[in-house]
Amino acid sequence: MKKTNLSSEISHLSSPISAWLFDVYPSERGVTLWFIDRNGARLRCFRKFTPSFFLHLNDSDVKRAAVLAHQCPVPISLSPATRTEIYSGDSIDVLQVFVHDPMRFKEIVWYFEKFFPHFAFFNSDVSVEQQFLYETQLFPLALGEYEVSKEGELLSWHLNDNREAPEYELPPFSIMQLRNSNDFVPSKYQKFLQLEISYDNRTYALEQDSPRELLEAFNWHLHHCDPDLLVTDYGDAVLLPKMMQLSKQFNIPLLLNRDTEAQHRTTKESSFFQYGKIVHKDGAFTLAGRWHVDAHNSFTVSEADLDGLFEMTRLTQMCGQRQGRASIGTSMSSMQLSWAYRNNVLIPSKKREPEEFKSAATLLLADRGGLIFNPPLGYHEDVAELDFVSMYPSIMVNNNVSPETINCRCCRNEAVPELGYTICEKRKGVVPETLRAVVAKRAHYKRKKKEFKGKDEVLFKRYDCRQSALKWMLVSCFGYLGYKNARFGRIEAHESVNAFSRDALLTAKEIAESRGYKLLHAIVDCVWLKKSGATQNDYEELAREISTRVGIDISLEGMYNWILFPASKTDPQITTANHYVGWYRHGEIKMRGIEARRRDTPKFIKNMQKAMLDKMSAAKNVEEVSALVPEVLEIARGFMVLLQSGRANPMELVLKRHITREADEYLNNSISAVVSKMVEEMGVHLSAGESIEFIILDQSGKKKPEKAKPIALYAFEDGYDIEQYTELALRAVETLLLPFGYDGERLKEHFRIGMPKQKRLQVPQKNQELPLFQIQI
Amino acid sequence: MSKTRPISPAQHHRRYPAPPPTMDIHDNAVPIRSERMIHAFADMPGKVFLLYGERAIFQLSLQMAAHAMLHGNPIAVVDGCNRFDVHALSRFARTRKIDPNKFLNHIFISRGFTCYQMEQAIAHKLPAFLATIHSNTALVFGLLDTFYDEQASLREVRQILQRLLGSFQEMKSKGVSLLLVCLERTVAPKERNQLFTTLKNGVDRVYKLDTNEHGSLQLYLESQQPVDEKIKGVLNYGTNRTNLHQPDRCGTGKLVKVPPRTA
Repeated sequence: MKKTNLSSEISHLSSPISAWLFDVYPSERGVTLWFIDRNGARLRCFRKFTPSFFLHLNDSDVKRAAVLAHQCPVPISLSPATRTEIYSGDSIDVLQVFVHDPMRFKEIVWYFEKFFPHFAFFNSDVSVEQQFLYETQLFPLALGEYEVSKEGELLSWHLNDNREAPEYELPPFSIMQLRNSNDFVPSKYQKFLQLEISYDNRTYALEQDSPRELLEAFNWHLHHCDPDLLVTDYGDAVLLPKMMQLSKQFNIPLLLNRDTEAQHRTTKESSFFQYGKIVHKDGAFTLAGRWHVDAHNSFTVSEADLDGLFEMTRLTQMCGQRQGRASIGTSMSSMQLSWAYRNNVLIPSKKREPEEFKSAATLLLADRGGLIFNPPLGYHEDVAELDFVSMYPSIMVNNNVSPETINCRCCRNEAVPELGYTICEKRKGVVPETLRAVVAKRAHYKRKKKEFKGKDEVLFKRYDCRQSALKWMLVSCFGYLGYKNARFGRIEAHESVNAFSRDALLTAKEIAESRGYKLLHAIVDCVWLKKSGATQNDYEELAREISTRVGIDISLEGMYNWILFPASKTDPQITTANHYVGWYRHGEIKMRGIEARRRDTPKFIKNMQKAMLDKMSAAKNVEEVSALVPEVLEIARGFMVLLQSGRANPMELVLKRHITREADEYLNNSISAVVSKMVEEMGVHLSAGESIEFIILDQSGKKKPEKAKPIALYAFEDGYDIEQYTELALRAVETLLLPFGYDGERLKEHFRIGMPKQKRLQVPQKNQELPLFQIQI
Repeated sequence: MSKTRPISPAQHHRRYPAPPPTMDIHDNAVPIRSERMIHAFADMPGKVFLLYGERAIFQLSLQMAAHAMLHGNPIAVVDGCNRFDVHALSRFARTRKIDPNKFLNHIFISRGFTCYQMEQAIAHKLPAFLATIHSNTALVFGLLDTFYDEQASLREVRQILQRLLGSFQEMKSKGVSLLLVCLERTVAPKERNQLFTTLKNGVDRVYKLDTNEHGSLQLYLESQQPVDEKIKGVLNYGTNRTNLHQPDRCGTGKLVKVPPRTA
């Protein structure tokens, strides 16, 4: 792509330019803005902006705040204001604190936090650039006419764009990729990096002999490409910090920032709990005037590629670098904060609204999740699956479920089934108001994706990425309602959504059963129904009736030739929810929870199970599956023989796990402990929540005390633990063939494998805690 | 223009002076039977007890609550550690041939998942809620659990704890009896362990449930404050043992109409 290099202040401009807003960050004068115009020119300007926050104080403390303002190290001004408190809907008097040096906004918040309690603060933890975007309702990648003065100040603008618009034009981005050429072992585990740069359909290897030459070569490419987006793998944790380290060491400044007056910014890495699991997030390394996107450190990019990132950036009003690293919750929060700014609603600095007192009897009713009907064990035929479309978001939008609308003070309607909670009829809630656009956009993208499937791969992929990015937002929005740190979350709203969902599922069940269908299985928003001889039309008609009655669209996902609900690994007599595999009549497979789908299964075993399933795809019913069992066993045998011979490709036996603590905190000798200690000895520090990849050498540790080796240290002569991997493979075979009587023991006999121990299918002992209320102390 | 009344730490210290140092009854904690603690808690209104130690403290405290509910006294629970076991209460009711639904309607719960929510629930919601259910008894589970979350700064959690200790004293002066139930924990950021010491110093009595030399659970009275003269005086002020008007007398010195308790 031929570009014009005009990355400079636009002192020559006075007439409006047609451009996309690209980047925003705070500066001493207010905010610095970058635009990309239609000719590919990159333009910088500034806009005066005074960020502010609010204090809700009593009269004497208002006087105190005035005194504190005089003593404040940064010029600030105070002004009385009136804003709305979200839960009560009341207008309250607050003190607006304007900070005249945007770069020191946080410092001033901390200054006041020393004197006033947390509940006095509102809007105090919204970053300066976000405040600017929320107040002006501008958004990144917004196409418009921007008028800039000769001094480079943004004077006014007119947007020809809407952040909720489903169709939009994107700027002509220039993209540079930076990665380590040895991508088999993650960059984090490598001491020596071999960098590769790609842009304009060319790839360059940086093979300079000295670090000085390497830095100069890197700078040359940056200058030559002048990328808008620098897309890296491990750029946050490894590549850019290492380059900066070299840059300082050899005193060669890097041209990473497009804005030469601004510094790059870094944040610290962190480990935190998410859904009961510890996860790790690398610190960010962000640039000024261009976006650094670390694909490894970006959920949005890893799930929905750059198209998903652009979609989210527009919708959430968060600049690309921030959006790229943001969790789904942060993205949703941003939309809600924007709504709050638009509606003059105060944003509490800390979520402090607790659960309302409720009786234990109500708690027993309310504190439940979605409804699950466990499936019957084994293979089934004539089964169809019906899924509610975006069930939870639809419930929130249709029923106005939001933290401030549940149990409001003004209405009495007992609208929530079972629980009798009231939902406000006078106010529209923040959650449905922000979700409405997401639901509508995703539906549009799904339609478009379907339209272009097989016709235009580029457009198909683009719409798929966009809908995928939004999908995660819709998936997470319900959980986020109950999340402890959600800015506008409340447990009663969370409970209400569950109550509506249970009601919807039960209604669907009743309708289906009244029409002669048998409910085989149901999980929250999906039902598996069975009726001998029922056609696709019958199911579609049923879906229409359910949609009408429930008020949420339900669609026929497909009819299965056969579907398997495998046995639980801990109790072979029962099944577990969300574990199934089946071939649709339209030739696609759907699997959940089985080895071939799980991330913690080695590739070799996944391949084996997939090959077995491929063979079973020919079967049109359970009888035909049964007839295929001998052939399926032969496929498994081929894999078993290879595994037992020790000649299986070790790279297909790599296991991935997340470590729950740092290496020196492990007290046991588990595989995770052993591997994380070996990685630590390599000089690579791993934090809790980071992943390790390893190959098991000897699970028991009797023959080889190191038990397992991280792939960065693995050599082919190390071999692998044949017994352990065979055990894993047998489990995968057992998952599919147990209904035909092939349990672990029989499979071993069949494959002539002598296993030393049997660990499977042990029913756990009952919890032996003290019985309640029998304590005599 | 104020609904909230934020105060600075300095003001807070003036308003709520630090409690006197705890007085150990003996050099070592005194082993006692759980009935004694239950009686001491039920005996007179207006006190703050801390029960900590082994996991069974939650069962023990629910046992206390269940017995109080059997006598028709509604209870409020603020739960900061998700230990409220509603099924256990239900089983308790069934074993005594009481309708579990009716029984469970006498205990009320609010769960807090952050220290900010805990503060709001205890300091702002609890006193008003106790008044609406005509109760003067509350349990607080895992008060400090949310304070160990490093997302909240140490300075902030210290301030919140100080404010809460002030709220406890305020509720106590109005005849509310509070039982704080916490696991004994040592947390990784060492500075935060000081919070537990602060809490211990801010309550009337500290009980510990521990394993004795025989390996069985034993309750110990670890420390107690001298009886507050003000409360003592009020209790002797001609009231019967139900202390019906005590909270109001304590507050204003005048008798005011108090709604009857639920039967």
